[in-house]
Amino acid sequence: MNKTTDSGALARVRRRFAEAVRAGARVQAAVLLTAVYFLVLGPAALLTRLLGVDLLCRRRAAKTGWTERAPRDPRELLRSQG
Amino acid sequence: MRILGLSFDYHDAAAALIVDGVPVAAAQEERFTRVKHDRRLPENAARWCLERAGLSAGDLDAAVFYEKPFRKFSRILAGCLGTFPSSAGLFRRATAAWVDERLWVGPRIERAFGLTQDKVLFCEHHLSHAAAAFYCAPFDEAAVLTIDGVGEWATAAVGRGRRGQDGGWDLSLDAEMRYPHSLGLLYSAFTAYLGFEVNEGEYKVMGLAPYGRPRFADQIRAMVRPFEDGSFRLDLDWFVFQSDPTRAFARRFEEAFGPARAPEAGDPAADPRLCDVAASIQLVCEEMVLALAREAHRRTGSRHLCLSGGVALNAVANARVLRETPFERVWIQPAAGDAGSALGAALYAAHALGRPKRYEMKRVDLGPEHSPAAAVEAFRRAGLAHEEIGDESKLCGRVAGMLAEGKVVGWHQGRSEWGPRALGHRSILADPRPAAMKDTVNEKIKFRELFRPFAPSALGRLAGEWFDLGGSPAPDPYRFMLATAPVRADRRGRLGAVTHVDGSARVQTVFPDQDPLYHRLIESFGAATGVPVVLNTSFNLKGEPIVETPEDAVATFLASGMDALVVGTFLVPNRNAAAAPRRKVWAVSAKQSDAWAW
Ligand SMILES: [Fe+2]
Repeated sequence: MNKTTDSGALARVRRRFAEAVRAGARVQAAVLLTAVYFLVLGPAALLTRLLGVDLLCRRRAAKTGWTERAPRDPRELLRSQG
Repeated sequence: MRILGLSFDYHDAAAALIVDGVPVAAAQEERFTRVKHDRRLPENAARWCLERAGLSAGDLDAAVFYEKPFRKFSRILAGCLGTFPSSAGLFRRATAAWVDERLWVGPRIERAFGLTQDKVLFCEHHLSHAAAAFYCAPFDEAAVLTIDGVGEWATAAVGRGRRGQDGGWDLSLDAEMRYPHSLGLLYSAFTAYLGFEVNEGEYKVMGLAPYGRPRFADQIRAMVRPFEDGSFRLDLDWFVFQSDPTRAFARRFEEAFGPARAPEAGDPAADPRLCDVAASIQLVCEEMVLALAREAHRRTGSRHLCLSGGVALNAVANARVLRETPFERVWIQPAAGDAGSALGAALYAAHALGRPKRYEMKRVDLGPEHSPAAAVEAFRRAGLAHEEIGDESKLCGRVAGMLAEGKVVGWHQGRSEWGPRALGHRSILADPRPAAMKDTVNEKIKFRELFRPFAPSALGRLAGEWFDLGGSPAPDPYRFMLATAPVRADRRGRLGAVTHVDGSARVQTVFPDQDPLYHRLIESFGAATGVPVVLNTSFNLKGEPIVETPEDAVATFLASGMDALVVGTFLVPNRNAAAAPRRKVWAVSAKQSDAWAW
């Protein structure tokens, strides 16, 4: 009986510890990704704007929303992930 | 050649197995896990597909994923760049999810099925949609149009399928529209505004639309900015889905259309403003689909159109494509959403790697079937008394009689359907004649919103007498409940439960070659009542996946107010000693936190 209670308590402690570790990892990842966002994407965003790159096709002067596609070999197409 | 198609990681994970160009098995993961819209790697569905064909993963020539993960992630990053500095939240959440899991699709598939790297292939999202339509359609040559929320970059694509010079069947997409300019995302933004779950509640918007007037249509047209060639550019000032991980529409929405409806708030049909918003977005969506279809015709000059992508599940827009475009025939993939892309990716690879014979999808029962012993065991466990009615015509006569008496019957037969529609294999059936039956089924059986209409299944050869199907024989999409049709004015009084407020119905035409048993049942109901039509709704409760096994069917039967249950040739004629319906949530919905294009 005592043994069961002990192992139950131990399991609870272990679970809480794992939860705390996971929560800590989430916070750490969020901090890291925020830093990457502002320190890496920030300058890149500035550069794309200076170069006039229209990443989201916002330009009003466009006459069509279609982008023509170049033909690709189907076998080749299936090989790549990008 | 044996090819497994897989779609997962976004929503509605699925697997499909193609052997020598013919789909032998296809199913969504949610049917096995009971997690609605389950998006996890579909190991259960894939293993079942292999088992069904008597194969093991080692027998596969290839496994094909339905999109290009690296290209998709690059689009997400580009979107974050383009909306800097308001996309910090999106970047954090999307990057965490992608780095953690989604970028490693290849290794995950290799690990799950013990495949080598060279056997794992990657189709393009819209090519998968396109292949799911063209390689299942009865056409030698056709224009192909795909429309959805977003794939990698593409949100719509137009192209062509035809017989190639080497005797194979070639499919190519010639042009695409790109994120964030998306009809699917526009419609989903309104779905969210109206308080419905994205990637689930779009049907509800379509069902709500006929209650309203499209008085906001001009405002929506202004935010869409269409070009003459059917393409368009969204005015991004109206949206935030490109920078916000959980929201779609900007404050301007509420200034223009009034306060958004809170999720699960009261009956939206009681609020004329919300109905008018639904009517407006539905009308604009139809116009945009028509414009895209006309452009597909202009580019190809084809007499045939193959349509796919999530937007191709909009049955009202599809009906207008059937009637108002120059195409003589239109074929729509029944699993037009991303689940169907598992099948499309596999078919694309089958035709790219080999020269299989042409396949035509005439029926959609590609899912699992279950033994009579499994049914008996499910009844025994639930303490349900049942009768075995060995003869199918006796069974149909008996069930038709019950339906005619106003009973609601769960109908579980053979292999489950591929796609989101129950077409007579996992269906709840009722009498379509009394208008009150709609409320009975909505309120007591399905526990769903009262404004939503129910669909009729009609005897194929007589359907034209009851519905204006725009031609004889009825266009193919009606076989799979993919288009609405006006109920003939003089018949509406006899189809009160399945005629929507605008006099339309999303009718399924049933032919013996497609489903002999279901055909016979409707025939029996017609003989008993003079109405060769039954009310057919999917065999599930609100928020749950459609039932798969006899055990699922029994659980849903007991949790709802259905009067009788049929599994195969077994009939549970009443609820026996089982208590009154007890609504119990025994399946959960996958978290849709990433409904917005990442
Ligand atoms: Fe899609």
